[in-house]
Amino acid sequence: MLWKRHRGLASTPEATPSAPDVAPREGYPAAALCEAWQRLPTRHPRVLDFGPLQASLTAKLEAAAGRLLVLDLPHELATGTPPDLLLERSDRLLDRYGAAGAPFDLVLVWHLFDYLPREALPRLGARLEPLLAPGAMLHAFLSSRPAVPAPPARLSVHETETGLELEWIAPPGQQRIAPARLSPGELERLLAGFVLERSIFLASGIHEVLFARGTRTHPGRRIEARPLARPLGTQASRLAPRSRKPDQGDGQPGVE
Amino acid sequence: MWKREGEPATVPSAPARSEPLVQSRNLQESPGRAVLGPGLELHGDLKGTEDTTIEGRLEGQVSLPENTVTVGPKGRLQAQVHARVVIVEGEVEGRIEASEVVQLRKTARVRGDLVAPRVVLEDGCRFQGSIDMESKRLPASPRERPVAVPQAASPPEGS
Repeated sequence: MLWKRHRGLASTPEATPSAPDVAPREGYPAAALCEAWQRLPTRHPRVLDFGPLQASLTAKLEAAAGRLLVLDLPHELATGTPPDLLLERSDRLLDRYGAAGAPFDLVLVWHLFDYLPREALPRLGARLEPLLAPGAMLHAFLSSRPAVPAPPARLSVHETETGLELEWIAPPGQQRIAPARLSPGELERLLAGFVLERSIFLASGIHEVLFARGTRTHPGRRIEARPLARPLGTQASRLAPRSRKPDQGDGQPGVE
Repeated sequence: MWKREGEPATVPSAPARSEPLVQSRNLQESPGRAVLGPGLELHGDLKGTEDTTIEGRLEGQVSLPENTVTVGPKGRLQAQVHARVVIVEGEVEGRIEASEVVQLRKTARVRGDLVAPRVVLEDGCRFQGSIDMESKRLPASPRERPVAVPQAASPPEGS
């Protein structure tokens, strides 16, 4: 119920059919991601990232002498791996890079759930379960838009004075596909063994969600709906040099 | 076979061999930098004590624990690399171990394992594999090794 109400508050394309084809580029404070980082062990944290390598996250891990496993499945999608074979590919990569020997404290799954078949998610949850440390977290982005870029947009994480901010970088080309359109609650049901802790609705039709390994009686569940979007031009100067032409600024997933 | 920077490559290909192919030349002006040119292909081990740039193809092992290994934009490695600093602008598949830092430039394409206390990335680089920054920073070269410094003689008690 709460989830539906929050969706109504935001100006998604469904709510405002006259939304422009190209949304302004926006950055988002990544509150749930910040929380996940704060909860990581201060020494030797281990992170499994299904997405591409992120410089800022690597720098954070470096400070804590951590370990990172990068699968870059969006790149697999971009190079022709069909979505229904993506989990098989990730299984092979996990085996190849010795994931079993490193229980992970945090799993980053950014926008991958938009591309995976719904029936693959329980299998993914079961695959991850033995790889996780006690108290491990899973951080994800989900799109509630009717279309997302194919291949997935790339997220760039910037460290600012106030925390971490995210920026979407559009892939080349204009191809769009329909995402799985999972709500955080549905995802919690499909990923057995994970409990939804935080769900933050960003103004572009994207959910930032944080799950914890555990049972559904886990306390501390919080669901928020805070449109946190700010035009990039008003953000920290660190983001300013990355501006692009307005007609190319559809980096956010889900922009129709 | 190996050329210094600024010199044209004169040997079109290198035979496969297991012995080190590079021997340091005594340059009077400065320490040298060896280059495996883009027209060269090496199967085997590369060892030495000289900073090295690889623009060609290499399959095997690179062991330059006190030096910098640069994989240029045209470099293609299927190898285990062990160096003090590793800079990648080309493609590497294998294991990279650096006692100081690994730098992946924007054109880098790397699959495998990175082991280094520090990893520096440029936007646009591609990586698939593991990064282990848990290892303690190890002194790699003599100039980095801790040197026992004799303590200043303390004044005798009671003086």
